[in-house]
Amino acid sequence: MKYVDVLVAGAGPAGSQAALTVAQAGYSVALLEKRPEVGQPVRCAEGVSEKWLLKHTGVEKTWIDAEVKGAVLRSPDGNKAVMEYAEKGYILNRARFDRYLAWRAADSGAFLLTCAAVTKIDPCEEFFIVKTQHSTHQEIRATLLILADGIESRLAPQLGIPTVLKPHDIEFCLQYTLGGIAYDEGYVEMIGGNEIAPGGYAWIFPKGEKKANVGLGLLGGRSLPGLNAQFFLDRFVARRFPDASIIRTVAGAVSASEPLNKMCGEGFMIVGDAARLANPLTGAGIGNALESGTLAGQTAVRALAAGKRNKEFLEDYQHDLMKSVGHVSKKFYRIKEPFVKFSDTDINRMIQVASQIDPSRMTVAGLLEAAFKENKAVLSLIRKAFFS
Amino acid sequence: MAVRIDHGRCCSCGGCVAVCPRGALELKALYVIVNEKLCNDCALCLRACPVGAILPEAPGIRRNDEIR
Ligand SMILES: Cc1cc2nc3c(=O)[nH]c(=O)nc-3n(C[C@H](O)[C@H](O)[C@H](O)COP(=O)(O)OP(=O)(O)OC[C@H]3O[C@@H](n4cnc5c(N)ncnc54)[C@H](O)[C@@H]3O)c2cc1C
Ligand code: SF4
Ligand code: SF4
Repeated sequence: MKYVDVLVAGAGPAGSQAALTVAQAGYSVALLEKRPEVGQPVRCAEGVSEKWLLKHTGVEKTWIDAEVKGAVLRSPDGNKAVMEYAEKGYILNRARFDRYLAWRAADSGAFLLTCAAVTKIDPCEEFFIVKTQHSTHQEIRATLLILADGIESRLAPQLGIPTVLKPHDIEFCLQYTLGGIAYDEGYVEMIGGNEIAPGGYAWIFPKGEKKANVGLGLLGGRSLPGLNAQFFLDRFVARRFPDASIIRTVAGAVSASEPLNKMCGEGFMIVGDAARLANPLTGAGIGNALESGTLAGQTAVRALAAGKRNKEFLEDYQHDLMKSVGHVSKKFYRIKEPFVKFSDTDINRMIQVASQIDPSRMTVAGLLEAAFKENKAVLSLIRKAFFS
Repeated sequence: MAVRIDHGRCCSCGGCVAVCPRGALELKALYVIVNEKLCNDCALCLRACPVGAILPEAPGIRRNDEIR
């Protein structure tokens, strides 16, 4: 049986980043991926702020499809407000990005296995015995475990941490990559409205060469058989891009919840979407996945150096994470609740007010202030969340 | 009875797995499977699936009837 210092389950951005961090410190690490090819099929709109790439991955032309400098926010009545980003944004090629990260971890010494779903975890005194579906490595022993198994996570519950999401805490999404279409180069577009995407929003993310990711998300509780994401997206696309080719179909789900209360325990840590770290209002999760993977990797390295694997030691990870990005998700969650109750009139008014703001000065906080102009309770919540 | 997954439609997004309160669903590499013993037909997954790939099991029809 193979024995490693750290076993990482799931080779998304969170898992690959964790494995890289451990491998670079000279410890043995196995990175197990369920799917035959890392990164495929894609489940993402592929937008990310440059700051996360500069911090964790660098910027490689091979996996960047387009650059964006801001966002166009559109209301159901067709009005728009423009936001210039403080940092540049990129539209990735996620299939290549994810593969790059996993292979980079492997090149640094991580033992990467595909077609290797982790199925069962047996905790022992000083290590775990991990059962996998890989043809030869059916059991691996690991001192520490990092669970990076994404939205469909089923491993944390085996270790006593529930991860089930309530229907109002998850967005169900569908996206088409459309070809041969015209849009605002250099800007992502987001369109709100209950007739467009109940409890969510529609997006257009430019991929260059007249291609774009066009998708939308529905709050789980608002989706119905026949009135699901596909129904709303087909209608949206028929109206806006009637003649476009659909060159790729991407289904996905992203948590709109608070981060998990407990992200670690005896010998293990939970990272990325599995820890429900995506932004509950926007669905952005790549940055948080990279950040959590790195932090968990660093904590694992310190734990191995100290010969410790107890829960108290690993709680450092959760502490560091909440300090860096977790607290932002928590704040957004408090605002998400009133936001998803918005009527189309509310959204029209928000964009109307926001359209008066100087695009280079508009921030998410400013936008939300515009949104809740007449709701004193929520307004004070926003001010507390963002300015204190 | 239990829900049924149309594997021709499922795009392996994993969302249904995240909402199933019974842990009855599992995303394999490319599609979802249902543990019929655990599913209690609450229909949460069926309502949410973005592409309508989850169907109520029609009474009297065996699972592989349609494959023939
Ligand atoms: C439609 C959609 C649009 C999005 N758009 C954006 C966006 O524009 N910008 C942004 O920042 N974020 C976006 N997100 C969120 C983003 O995709 C995720 O937050 C990000 O992928 C999380 O990375 P991760 O590594 O935690 O999980 P994943 O990328 O989901 O990786 C998890 C990996 O674990 C593997 N796995 C699962 N179970 C096991 C197991 N038992 N054993 C072994 N391997 C396993 C999976 O196969 C997968 O490869 C979007 C999400 C969706 C659904
Ligand atoms: S929600 Fe639908 S598309 Fe997504 S994994 Fe489940 S069955 Fe497949
Ligand atoms: S019907 Fe309910 S119990 Fe059955 S698989 Fe779907 S969510 Fe789970």
